[in-house]
Amino acid sequence: MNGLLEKDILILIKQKKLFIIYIASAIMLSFAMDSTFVVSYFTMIGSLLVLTTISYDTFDNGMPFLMSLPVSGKTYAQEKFLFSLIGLFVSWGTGVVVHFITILLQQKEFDLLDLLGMDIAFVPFFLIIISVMIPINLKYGADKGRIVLLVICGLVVGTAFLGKKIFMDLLKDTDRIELEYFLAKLSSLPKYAVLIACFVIAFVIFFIAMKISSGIMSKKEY
Amino acid sequence: MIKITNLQKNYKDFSLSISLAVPAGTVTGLIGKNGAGKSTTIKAILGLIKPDGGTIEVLGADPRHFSSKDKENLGVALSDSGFSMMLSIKEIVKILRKTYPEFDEKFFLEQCKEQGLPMDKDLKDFSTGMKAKLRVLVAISHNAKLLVLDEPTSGLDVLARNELLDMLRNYLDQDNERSILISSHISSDLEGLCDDIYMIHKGQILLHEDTDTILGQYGILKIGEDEFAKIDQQYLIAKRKESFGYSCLTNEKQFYLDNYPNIVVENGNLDDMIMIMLGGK
Repeated sequence: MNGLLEKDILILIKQKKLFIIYIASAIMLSFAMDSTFVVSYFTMIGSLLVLTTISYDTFDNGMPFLMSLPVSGKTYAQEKFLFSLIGLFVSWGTGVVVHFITILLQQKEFDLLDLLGMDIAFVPFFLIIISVMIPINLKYGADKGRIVLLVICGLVVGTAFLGKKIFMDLLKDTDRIELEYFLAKLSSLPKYAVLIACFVIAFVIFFIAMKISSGIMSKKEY
Repeated sequence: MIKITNLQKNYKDFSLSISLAVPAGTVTGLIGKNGAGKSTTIKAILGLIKPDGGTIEVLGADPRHFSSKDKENLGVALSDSGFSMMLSIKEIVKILRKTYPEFDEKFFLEQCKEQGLPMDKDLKDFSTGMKAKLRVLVAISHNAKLLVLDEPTSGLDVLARNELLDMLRNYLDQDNERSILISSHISSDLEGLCDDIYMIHKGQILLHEDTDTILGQYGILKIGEDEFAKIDQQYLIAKRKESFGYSCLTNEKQFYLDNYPNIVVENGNLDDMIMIMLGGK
């Protein structure tokens, strides 16, 4: 796995010009837009870098050779998840630092805990995003993967919209009051509890996705 | 080292059905036209495809369940697949160092220098010959017990091919137990390197013979139609219609030399054999 990790890092370093453009545009945009934007932007770029490495692996029919090295399909999938995790946390950390510098330069008043809380909330969100993206990319490749992702997004949004409508129509007035009471109670929970719950859910999804990806890679032929 | 028994792999327009063995300390060649099944066989040996039937044993293990340790003992060079073209040799060294515990960095760097391979250039700027040499160097630089090489000399000129074959000979000289399975459609490469040769055509093994036997006992008879009708044909393996009559392949060259002194009998070589066996009627 160390060899694969080294390969992915070296390939990313080769694209340093692209990184400079990303960072410069993020810093410029952070002054123009909401200050939390820079954290979400950095985290998104960092966590999705793994997809670039999957594309590079498949360029020039590289996969047969990579799979002849002392790694299994399972190790390959695990390395991609580990790499995405490293990318996510490094980019998130950079985003947070840039965010704070921007606020200091703009001389705005801020509450450190509140700000950090907002920034941390991006982590589970992007964990779930990469948990969906990696298996799709491994199974269908970069081009087909985009189409599959669009279909999945459409299905999820459509199901959620229809599900909510049907559910609300079926609910009696008394049930509706109870539901509103439950939701109100949920929103009154301490922020840290909600955040911890989000992290737990995100990591559970992350590990399930890693397991699914290992299965995909073990069955794949080259 | 490798034992394949009744390997079956079916695609929509191609079926592979072969048995093959590579004992320890031998160099085995796999020869055939493009699309004959050489690469499919090699992919099955490396566990890159799942066979539909039969068994494959490589270094005592099933390739579909290779451990990292099993793969460390394999040196692989594929004709159409390798490290990313964005990387340089300097970077590949860093990867190999972390991939193979027995990676011999000193040997690798010395060989790169000897073969004139630039350290800082990206692979995309390498010539075909440079890429081929690098692929083989990667395969031989980590003390592998078995090399599996798919068309390693493809696209190379005579000089580059000889240099590459010399690298393989040096690899073999290090240890008597080392083995190579090499596929090629260039017969002269295999004649000078292999102990035995499998000829593959349309997914089937047409012939398996020791190279010495092919070169020593096989021959090509060139005869007119009238003479062809008169000679004993029991030792003829295949024949091909020619303008002058027939070219016939025999595995008993001496029999025809002794009994039919007027017939032209040429020494056997793989190119002629392929021409007659694969193109013969």
